[in-house]
Amino acid sequence: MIHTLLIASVPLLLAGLGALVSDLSGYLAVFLEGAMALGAFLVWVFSVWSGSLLIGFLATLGITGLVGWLLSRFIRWTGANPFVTALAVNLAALGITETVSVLLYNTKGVLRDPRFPSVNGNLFVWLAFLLVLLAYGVIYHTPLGLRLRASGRSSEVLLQRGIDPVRYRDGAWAVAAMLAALAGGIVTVKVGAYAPGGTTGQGWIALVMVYLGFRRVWGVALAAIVFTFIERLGIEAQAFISIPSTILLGLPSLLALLLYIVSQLLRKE
Amino acid sequence: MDILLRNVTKYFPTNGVQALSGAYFELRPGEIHALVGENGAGKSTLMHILAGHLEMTTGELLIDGLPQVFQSPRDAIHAGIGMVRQHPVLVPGFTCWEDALLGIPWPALLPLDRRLARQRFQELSDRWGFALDANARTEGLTISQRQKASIVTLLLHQVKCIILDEPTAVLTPVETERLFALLRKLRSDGKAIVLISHKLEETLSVADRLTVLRQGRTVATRLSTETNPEELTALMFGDAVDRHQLEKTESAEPVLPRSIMLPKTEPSPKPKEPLLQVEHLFVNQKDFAYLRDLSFSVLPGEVYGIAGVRDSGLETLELTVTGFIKPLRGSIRLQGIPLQGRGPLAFRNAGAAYVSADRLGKALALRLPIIDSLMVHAHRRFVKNRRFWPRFLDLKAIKYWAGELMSLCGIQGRLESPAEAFSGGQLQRLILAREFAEEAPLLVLAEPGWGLDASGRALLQERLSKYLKEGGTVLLFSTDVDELIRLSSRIMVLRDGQNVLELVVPEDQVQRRLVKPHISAAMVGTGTAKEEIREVLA
Amino acid sequence: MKRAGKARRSGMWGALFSLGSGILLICLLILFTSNNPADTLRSFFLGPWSSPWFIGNTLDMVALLLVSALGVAVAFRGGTFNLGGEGQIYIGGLGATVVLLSFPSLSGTVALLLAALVSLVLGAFMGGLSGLLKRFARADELITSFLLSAALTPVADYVIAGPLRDKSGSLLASPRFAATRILPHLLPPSSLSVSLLWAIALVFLVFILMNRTESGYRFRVAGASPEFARFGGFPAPAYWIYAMTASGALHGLAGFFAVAGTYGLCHQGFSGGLGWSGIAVALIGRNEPLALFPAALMFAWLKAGSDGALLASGLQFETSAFVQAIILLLVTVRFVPRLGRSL
Repeated sequence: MIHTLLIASVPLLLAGLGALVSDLSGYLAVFLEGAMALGAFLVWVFSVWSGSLLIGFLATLGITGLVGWLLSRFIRWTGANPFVTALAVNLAALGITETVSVLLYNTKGVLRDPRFPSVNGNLFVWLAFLLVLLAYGVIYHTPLGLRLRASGRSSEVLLQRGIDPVRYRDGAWAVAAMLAALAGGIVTVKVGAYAPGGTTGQGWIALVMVYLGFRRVWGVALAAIVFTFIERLGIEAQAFISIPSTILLGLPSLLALLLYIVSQLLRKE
Repeated sequence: MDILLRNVTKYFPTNGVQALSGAYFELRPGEIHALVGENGAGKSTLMHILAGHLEMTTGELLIDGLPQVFQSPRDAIHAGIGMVRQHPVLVPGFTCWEDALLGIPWPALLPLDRRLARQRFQELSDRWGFALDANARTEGLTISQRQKASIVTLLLHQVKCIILDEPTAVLTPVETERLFALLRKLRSDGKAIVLISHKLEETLSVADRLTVLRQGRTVATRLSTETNPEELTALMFGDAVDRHQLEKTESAEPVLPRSIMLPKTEPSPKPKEPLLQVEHLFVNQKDFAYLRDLSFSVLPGEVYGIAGVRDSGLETLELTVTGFIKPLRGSIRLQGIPLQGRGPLAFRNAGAAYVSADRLGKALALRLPIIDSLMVHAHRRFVKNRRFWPRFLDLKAIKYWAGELMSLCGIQGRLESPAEAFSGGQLQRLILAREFAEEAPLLVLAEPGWGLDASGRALLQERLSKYLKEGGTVLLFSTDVDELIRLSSRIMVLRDGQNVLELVVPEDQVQRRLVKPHISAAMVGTGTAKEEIREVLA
Repeated sequence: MKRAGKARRSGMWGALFSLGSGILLICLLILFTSNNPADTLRSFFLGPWSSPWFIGNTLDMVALLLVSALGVAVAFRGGTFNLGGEGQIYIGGLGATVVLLSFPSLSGTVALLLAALVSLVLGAFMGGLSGLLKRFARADELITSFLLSAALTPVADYVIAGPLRDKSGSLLASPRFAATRILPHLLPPSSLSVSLLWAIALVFLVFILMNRTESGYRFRVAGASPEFARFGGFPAPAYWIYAMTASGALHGLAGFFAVAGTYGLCHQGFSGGLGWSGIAVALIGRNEPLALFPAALMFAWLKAGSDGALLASGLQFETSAFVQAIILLLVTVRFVPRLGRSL
């Protein structure tokens, strides 16, 4: 039971980690929704094309990381508003996945292909665990993490010491985009096919994980697992209290909203 | 490491201020060199240039004979020069050692030895007698601890020259002595120390050499053993011209004569009803200095100045009187109306206008059209229909009124332009004019000299004179003793949240000079036992 | 330290830039993918205005965009960011639908007024909740408004496809409203209804309230400079609540106009994209009510044109998402760095 729970919570955990990294830099990455959708799609495309999941993931991460980095530089370059620009990416991701899907496969719907490799779900749990450890190590035990955390709290001090704080946002957004894309790709692999809209809403909920986890690495990881657990409880409850399945689609958002409100009320300041 | 600054000028285009017009400064290793001068002389500006925070307009910087240009504080630290500000900025939420570590060249991904870093910080702190806990969070540090943490940071970065910007203004005498002992130790270690100060006696007790700046120029350099406070004062104020004066350049900015007297109403023989009365005020607000059993009153027609170092409760009192902070106990009455805890609007309605110290942040809406900032108080008077919602504004009248205000300040511009399109100096003038336009019985004025250029100061003098002639009353808050002496009829010194000294300002210039050190001394007197305060507030 | 290049500040720069780029993008897409680019381009630029039917539909879109963008602009001006517009439109429209399908004894006009009121109130509740949470729980309204909408949208989906569904047809939609309960149309058979007139009136109403009244003045100042508002004696947090409530109400009303004017019924997902488009239009118009007129017009033209070009040439993909994306990407640009500088 715990086993399936862990596997199920991996995407949210990874996306939440990405959100945390961006939050530490002082600019929450609102584009995670789009990054996840892109990741879910691109992993399918590249894996089928190359026959290997590894190449599929690497190519996807490369592209989405670049996108995240470019977005941050674009904002610095033009002084655009970070939130609105990130929203644009969410919309663009939708358009791009649909368009490419139509161009390559003549359909906007579910993409299936027997060539799509499959893999054991446990692998992802190990991967997630390793990434959490890595994140913890880098953020709290390296100068890079120190500077990242400083850039989110006081860019003035960094400037005085001669460090450019905006560079850390560039990197943070690249990492956030990659983690979200990784999460999206994992969803596709678990399902065994690409389902448009399969990651809808998860990008936003990942942002909430940052607050539920009180902005700490282990907190976010734990929050993701607990959230997934409660979510599943809700779905199981369907057997006892008959809630139409359509309505149940709104449950994660509702849950995230309630938990977010509670976490804000509990915040001491 | 020998440092030489030569022919330095600095002009700020945004408010048209010529801060430096020919400064000269020389620093040798193993000395404590003080930079003295009155407010606005350019001491801070010169050192900010040396530390890489500002760029000089013209001039040279030579280190060991080689010209250097600093484009950022980072370059200066690389060259071995670092500055400790009066209110050091540390990263909130970090521990001391984490903050100190920032900026030290270290490969980004190499694992930190947290224990080692913590140890190094603690060692340095202990070695110099700082009594700092490396693990303490930066938000919880007092000012003197922050200064010390900054010094440790600089030492960790291996600087050879440490600049301290008016550190003692916010320290108690005991803390000041400890700081000086530390500076002497650093000096014997071969470091060069620059101490910016306008307190002559204590500076003479610790410095080896002093350089005097006046109106942006270096007028003299003296050995501390070969001079005295009187000569230094004369040099600072220009009554004596030094024969060793270096690098004459034309001053670009005419300066107001120092002895402008405001018309002061004679203290009348029979006691008058106070306009503003503060009694037994206790304030204990997070992030602000506390106030303890504070009482004073302001009589109609006078200029009542309150002096204090920034952390003595000056800001707290300013915000409490004007209604932004709610006091724990005590009363504030304006024209008899009780105001404590009733908010800024009640304070204004009771008959007051307020020019805050933080003008550009709090007293303006930068991105909105300037007319929106100007009409913030007046708009309530220009309402067409009072009875029912929505209450329409008489925009034509408001525009006319605002236009008059603008021309009064000699500013040409469209009312629809956003506030940020105007220069800093223009905005300061507009804010002053706006508050004077309220014609309130009481004007609360905080740090009047801040941010004003020459024409702004002239406007302020003019409006203040007019206001007082027409029977206005001014409550003045300032950290600048000279300014207070110049403008006030009575001065109260605030220290550690209490009223420690109250005196009438003499008319005579010489007597004023004598009274000044008393005021300064009262401002940084002996520390108060913190336990007593906690008991009272509990 | 690198600088961002010389800043050339211009209020309209971002607007023109983004619109221009949107147009350019569509042109490029057409050129690359259409079999007959000239025809497709013609239908892109002229299509929306080529016949009364097209003109009517384009203007109807303008009406909906105006109300939605007005909601977004009001939220921004009050210092908040309403990200739940889509859901507020959807729920508002659903509420109006319920009213218009019930109470048979009411006359057409009364039913319409009641439906408008209900949609307004529902939207106001949703927005107001976010406002209250921001004020009292320090909860970011961006997140709460979005999540609330995301949580309620499936509920609305269910209701429309289930209890409210018109069983006689195969659409996931409600039955059509009675003829008296549909807003009068101005240019039949297009979908343009009096909602355009109401939308224009609303824009003027908001303009007058915001710029000519005492409360409007304080609202604007509180939204732009909370510190200054406190200084002036009218602290900002109260205005957050007003801003989000009004914003939600306007979105709800947009939902009413959509179901009672444009469609005449409520189908699943009718609000699709209107919320995001509203954000784009509001930003193009720099959150100034009167500037929303040209902004909505341009955006509607762009959207209708690209939809038309899609149909005319058999272009396969969704251009509207791209259009929205590129506009949002560029509309908040504040300066263009000197060309030739390295990134």
